[in-house]
Amino acid sequence: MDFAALATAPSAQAAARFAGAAAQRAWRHDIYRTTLPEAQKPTFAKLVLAAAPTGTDEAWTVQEAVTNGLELTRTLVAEPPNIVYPKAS
Amino acid sequence: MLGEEEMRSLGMGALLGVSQGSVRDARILALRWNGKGAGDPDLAFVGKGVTFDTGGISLKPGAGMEDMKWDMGGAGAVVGAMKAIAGRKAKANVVGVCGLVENMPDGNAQRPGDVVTSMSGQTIEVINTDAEGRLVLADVITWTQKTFRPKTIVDLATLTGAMIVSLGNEYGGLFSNDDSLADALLAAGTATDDKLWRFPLSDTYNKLIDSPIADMKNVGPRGAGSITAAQFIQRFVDKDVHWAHLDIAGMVWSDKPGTTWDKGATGYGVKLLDRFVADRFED
Repeated sequence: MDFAALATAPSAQAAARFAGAAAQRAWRHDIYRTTLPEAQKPTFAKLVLAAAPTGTDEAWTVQEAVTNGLELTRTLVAEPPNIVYPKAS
Repeated sequence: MLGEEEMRSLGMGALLGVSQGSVRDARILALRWNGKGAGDPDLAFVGKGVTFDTGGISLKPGAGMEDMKWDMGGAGAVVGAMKAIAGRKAKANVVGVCGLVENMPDGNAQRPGDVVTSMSGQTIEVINTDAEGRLVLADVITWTQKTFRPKTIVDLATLTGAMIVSLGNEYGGLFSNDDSLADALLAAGTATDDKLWRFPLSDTYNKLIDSPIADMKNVGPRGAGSITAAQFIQRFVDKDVHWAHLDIAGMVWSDKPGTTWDKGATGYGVKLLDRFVADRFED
């Protein structure tokens, strides 16, 4: 993702939010799939931000924390009830 | 972490009544983040964590029951929010408390008509064992207040089917005894797209859960089911506590992908609570 291509440079907050949104949309819970065909497996592996405005790294630490929290919640909710039950915590 | 023995000695008859039909012991999980240093937390999040809800003896219909693995979505949101808040080292003191139980039909399960005594001392006639989330929240809220003395409590629960009937999958329901708190949550919802819509509370709604045999019953009449559930929870909130209840039954799972989520678990509530802490509790 090359921010230099944009007419107006985004703010560091916006760049970090963009990266956060991409990470959040990409979340999947495939750990029980043993027969997923290659064509259906996700191909999006890494997002690189080029020409990101100064301060993006700092703004990203906030987005990363929120994204990590979101992923934990989604995992807990998606896990089946024979895996997530009171004593398991 | 509290186990059943401790809960029993604390008198958590409401929560344990829900749990008694399951072979899985109940737990209360408390996560504490002291980003501002020592002292009582300003804010407590409380989450309903029913890891599977069959309805109990008031059994749910079979079709679609597999959805009830997300009946711990409120607790999930609280845990994820605490992880986010701690991960970014928020300058606030927050505690997240989750009541974890499994609601199963069994020879030892509670029966419609049972009267249980909550940790607060109030007695509850359990008319419908499928209205179990509010029974869990009642004891967890009492314990949270006694243990942490927070000035503000926000509880999250996938509480009522009536919420999905009213707002579908677009907005969570918000109930509160404090306009300023409610407005802050509404604003955080709009900002993060974890949207909320506020519902009324009143003495008239509260009377609908009066019982002839106990201090209250755990369901009201057919109408206003989400509101009577909120009125029930409010009976356990101490005077002077700023309280909000988020009924997120329609929000934690999605049948189609969205902007920042795929089909399945949405993670609703994490961004909302994180933003709410940032805007209202950090300078």
